[in-house]
Formats: sequence, C-alpha cells, structure tokens
Amino acid sequence: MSPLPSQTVRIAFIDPLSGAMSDIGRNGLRSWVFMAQAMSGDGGPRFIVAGSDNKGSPLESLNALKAAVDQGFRTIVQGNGSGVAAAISEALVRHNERHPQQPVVHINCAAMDPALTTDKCSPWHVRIDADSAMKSQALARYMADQPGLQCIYLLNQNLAHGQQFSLHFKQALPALRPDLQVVRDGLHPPFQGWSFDPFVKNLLASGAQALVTASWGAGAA
Amino acid sequence: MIFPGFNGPVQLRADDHQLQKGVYIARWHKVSAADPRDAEGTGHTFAPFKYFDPWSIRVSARCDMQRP
Repeated sequence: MSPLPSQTVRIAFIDPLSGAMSDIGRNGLRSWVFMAQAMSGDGGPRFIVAGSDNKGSPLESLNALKAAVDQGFRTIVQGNGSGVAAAISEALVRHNERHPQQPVVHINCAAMDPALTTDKCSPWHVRIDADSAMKSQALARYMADQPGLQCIYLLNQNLAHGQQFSLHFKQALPALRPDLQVVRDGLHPPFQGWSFDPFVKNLLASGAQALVTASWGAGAA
Repeated sequence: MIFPGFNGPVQLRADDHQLQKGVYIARWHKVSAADPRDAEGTGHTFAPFKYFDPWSIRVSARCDMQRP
C-alpha cells in the first residue's frame, strides 16, 4: 500500500481556517505544508497539502469532506476538534462501505477525545496525537511533583475536550498526591470573546497556587 | 509494534491498538541561547523541560472497532 517514489500523495487538510479558532487551524495548515515540502522528493513520494475551511463546524466539515473526496483526495487530515473528528470518522465508515475500491483515510492530528479510538473507533481513523487521558496524566504527574503546591484551580472550555481533561486530571491526581486539592473546577463558554475578569478575581481569591487548563485557541489567551 | 517517531518512540499497543507516544511539558519564557526559536515575533518560546515517555502515561482503554 505504500506509495511508489513517483507517486503523489494528495492530502486534504480540513480545519478552521476562518473565525475564532482559525489561528490554530492556519498554524496547523502551514505546518503540514512545510512538512509536505520537507518530506517530498529524495526518491520518495511527493506530498501535496490543500487546505479547506470547515469554520469549526461538523456540518461544514462534511461539506468540505464531500468536496475533497469528489476531487479525488484519499487522505484527510483534521485535528480541531473532537466533534468534527467524530463526524468525519462516521462519514468515512459509510463512504468506505459504499466505495470499497476508493477508501479514504482520516489522519487525526489533534482531536483528543478518547472515544474516537475506543467506543467510536473506526478502522479508517488514525490519531497521531496523545489523547486527553494521556495528556492529563502527564500534567497531573508533573503537578504532583511540585513540592510547595497545595491547591489547584481548574478552568476549562465547556466542550468535550475541556470536560474530559478536567475529569481525567481529577481521576489521575489522588493516586499521585492525595493531599493536593482542586479548589475549583470551572467551565467557560468557548470561542465567544468571553471576559476572564471574574475568573481571574475568583482565582486570586481562591488561594490556589496553580491554574490548570486545557483551553486552546483564542480562548486560551 | 514500536517504531521511532520524530520525537521519541511510538508504540501501537497490540491488545487494543491504541497509539502510545511521549508527551513534553514546555515552559513559555524569553528566547535564550539554549532555546533560540522565537515564537511568532513575541521574543518568547515554548522550551521543553520535562518529557514523559509513552509507558509512564499509559491509560487502559477498550476498543470497540468493527473491522470492515
């Protein structure tokens, strides 16, 4: 199945390229284009990456997916976020059932919902990033090693990723440092130009020495 | 199966085919001789300072994948 040296691998990169999440999506696109150029040639296959804007929406992603498949793309790269990844993964199971001679694969470079590789797992979906359970495990281990730390304040985006990060972080912590307290477990609306002033005041008043968040994109600033 | 990734070993776990990879924790600080790469003209950079290998952060999972 590996491509011959003379072949070209065309990759459709479907991610938010406009709107509040676009800084993350455009950075991802530039990185994939850079890697495609760096990896092409030298006797190996040529890689081409074409960006497609899904505006951060699962529905728009399915339109972008259909357009990419109609144009002959067989490799889809997508990462932000897990709701979009689930929609693409499910759509490709149906597509590949109907078109077994033209299967399309989904390379997930950032959507971290563990469900994508457990109860919703598809053979056409490959995640190349650590999932939110593994990342929260790593961060919990690091926090547990900080000797002066006693209180942690959790603040995450109110979407699947933020909720799961909080859950897995709280599950990992007691076994590592039972005395470490989570003084608040807050969720905020993602990508809505939300003011963080009330949270910052609450954080400072809480006595916590560390803020732990898995927020991403403009919401993390 | 274990294969070399660009930033450490990656394992495809046999019993539930979960991909296991290492994770870095980085610190956001000013560029320095040791960490010279400027992130988007900010004068700061994400400097990796702690690495967890895939085995130290493994989480059990159950995969319900249906083969085609």
